[in-house]
Amino acid sequence: MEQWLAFAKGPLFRFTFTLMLLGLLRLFILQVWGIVEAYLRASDKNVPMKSLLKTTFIWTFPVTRLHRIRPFHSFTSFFFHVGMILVPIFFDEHIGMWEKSVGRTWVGFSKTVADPLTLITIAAIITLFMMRVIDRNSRFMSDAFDYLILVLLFIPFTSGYLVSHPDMCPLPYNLMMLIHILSAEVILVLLPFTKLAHVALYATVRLSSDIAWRFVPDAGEKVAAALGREGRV
Amino acid sequence: MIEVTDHKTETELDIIKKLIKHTRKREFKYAFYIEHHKHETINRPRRFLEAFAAVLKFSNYKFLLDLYSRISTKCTRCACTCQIYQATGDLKDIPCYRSNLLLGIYKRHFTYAGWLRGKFIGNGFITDDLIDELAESVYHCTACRRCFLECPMGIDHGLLTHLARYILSEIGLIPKALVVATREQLEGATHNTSAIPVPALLDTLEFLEEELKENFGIEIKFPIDKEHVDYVFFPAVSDFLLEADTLMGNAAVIHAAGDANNWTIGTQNFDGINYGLFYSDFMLGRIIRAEVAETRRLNGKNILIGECGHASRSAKFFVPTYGYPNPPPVINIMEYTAKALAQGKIRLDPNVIQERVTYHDPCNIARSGWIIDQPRFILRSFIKNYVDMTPGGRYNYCCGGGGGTVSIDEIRSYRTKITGKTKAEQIRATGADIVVAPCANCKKQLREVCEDNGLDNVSVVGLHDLILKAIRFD
Repeated sequence: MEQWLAFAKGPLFRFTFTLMLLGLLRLFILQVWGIVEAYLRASDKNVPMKSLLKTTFIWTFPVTRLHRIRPFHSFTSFFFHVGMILVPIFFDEHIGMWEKSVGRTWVGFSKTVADPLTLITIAAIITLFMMRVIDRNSRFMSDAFDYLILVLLFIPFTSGYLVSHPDMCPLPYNLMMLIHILSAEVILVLLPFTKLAHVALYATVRLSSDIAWRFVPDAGEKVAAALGREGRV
Repeated sequence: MIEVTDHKTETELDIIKKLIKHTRKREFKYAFYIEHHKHETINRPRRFLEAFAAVLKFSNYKFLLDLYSRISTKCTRCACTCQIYQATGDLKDIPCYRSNLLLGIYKRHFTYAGWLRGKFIGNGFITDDLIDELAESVYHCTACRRCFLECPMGIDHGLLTHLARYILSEIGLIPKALVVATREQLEGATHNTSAIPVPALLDTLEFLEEELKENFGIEIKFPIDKEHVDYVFFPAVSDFLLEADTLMGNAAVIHAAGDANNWTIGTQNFDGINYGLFYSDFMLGRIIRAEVAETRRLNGKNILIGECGHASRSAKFFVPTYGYPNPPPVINIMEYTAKALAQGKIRLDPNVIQERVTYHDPCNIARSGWIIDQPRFILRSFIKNYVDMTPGGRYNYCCGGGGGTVSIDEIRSYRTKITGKTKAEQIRATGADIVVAPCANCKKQLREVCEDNGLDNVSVVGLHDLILKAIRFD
């Protein structure tokens, strides 16, 4: 078991983390390249960067928007994201792991902060799952993966909490730790290949939407010519 | 056209290779293939994919479709903002569902991941039924883009509706009302969507000048084909037929502001309507170019758009694209009037309009935040009993006839009872006697909404209709 644990913590973590990093980087670069290409092809280059940045910032920290529509869902989703981002990166125990793998360290928080945050995140995951099941709109729009991803996110947080509270842990410490690490690594691998990719692409969305409205001046003619119907209404 | 005969003896890989070869021959950048399906009867799926491929190759949509298909989390927050879904309760009217119809086709036929996924799961390929559903769905939408404001991801469902309509138009799926009007505007003898011949236009304007003289005792002219002016005026052409008060209000304001000899209406092109915005980038560009050409013919400095939401948006946001080089600036008449009023050039009598007045924000000028305060500033300056709708401004509800659907008379009951239901409730809640809607399409739609929803005492007018009543020259 210890060997498995050492493997999961060491080479496997480095591999999955690198895969995630490269995958997300690839998506980000492709997206930036797409934006640049579209910008160069468009003749209207007057992009309102300031307002786009402002809107992106507002929606990154949407505290003023949460109460407006579906407040319960919005707040749940907000806290889900807070825990999802903060705990893996800033929990003291994780920082030690980051130091070993990435070689850097930063200021984090202890168990007294991590525990409630983790519990809130777990509660948020369960709530979001239930809302997908109960809410008519969400249920209609969801496919199997939308449910599966919540289950996959539930595992590392729950196992992580149990690992740090051995008295509550129903399984041997090492086994639970292995589950915790492996399930987190599954998430790392899934990040670039699923809708979780929004962690890298989110900041580019509003800019992309704006630039896509700046059409290529002669695109219409070329499309019509390619389809053999020049100039007809 | 790519011809695929029955390849039952060949392996699927052979078919794919052959199709990729064909598409390369036709210089399509993105290879695609389709499965045979029992519903494929008239070759539409293949033609749709060809059109899709051509659009992807020559336009700017590809990177956006990649992005949207990667990040869509389907949170359904948009469902709560969509007045159509709120009215119908039909799950297929959820904006995200509509977008996913197009994104699904894109992923399945234009990405390796989608193709691979489709191979395993065995569905998702394009069929006649899917094209029918998409066509139905994108013309259910009024493209008001209200959902865009509340999408936490920033997905612009309105843009995807626009794209889907564009692709569909390339295979001939366009509402007849839109295509007939656009054909007359671009290829007809009259160069306008209502087919008004120039002599009829001149007669109308002469009559309006007489009316103005009768009302105010002064000569207020509609200058025709005047060159070297600051403003070349393009109202929605229906104003010449149906909205005489709006036009007279426009002329009165321009006269009062001191630009009586500084504006003109061109006889080669006097129609601001641009249905290309609703269904085709190609037509959008051609109509914009015609507007710009008329402005240049008259050596005009600015394009002045009348009271019309989509005409204003298409000119403001697409003249910089299609009007190069040196695209002329675009101004909406309400911006012009608000500026003249702020400069004290216009005098409006505050005692003329006693009724309760409310203002409807046309989506095309309000959603982006462009024209929201100007009309309110004008209205509050001379109307004592003004009341705002809730919500209003950027978050307004569509009149229900957006995206060109107002032109389709066959769906009137859908427009007034379903898409216009929320607006009817909003108007009722204000208790207003007069609804100001500075848009030709919104006006037509709101009159029908009021008629069909028991709001018989509410009159729907343009902003300059009220100004015409209140403006004073003495």
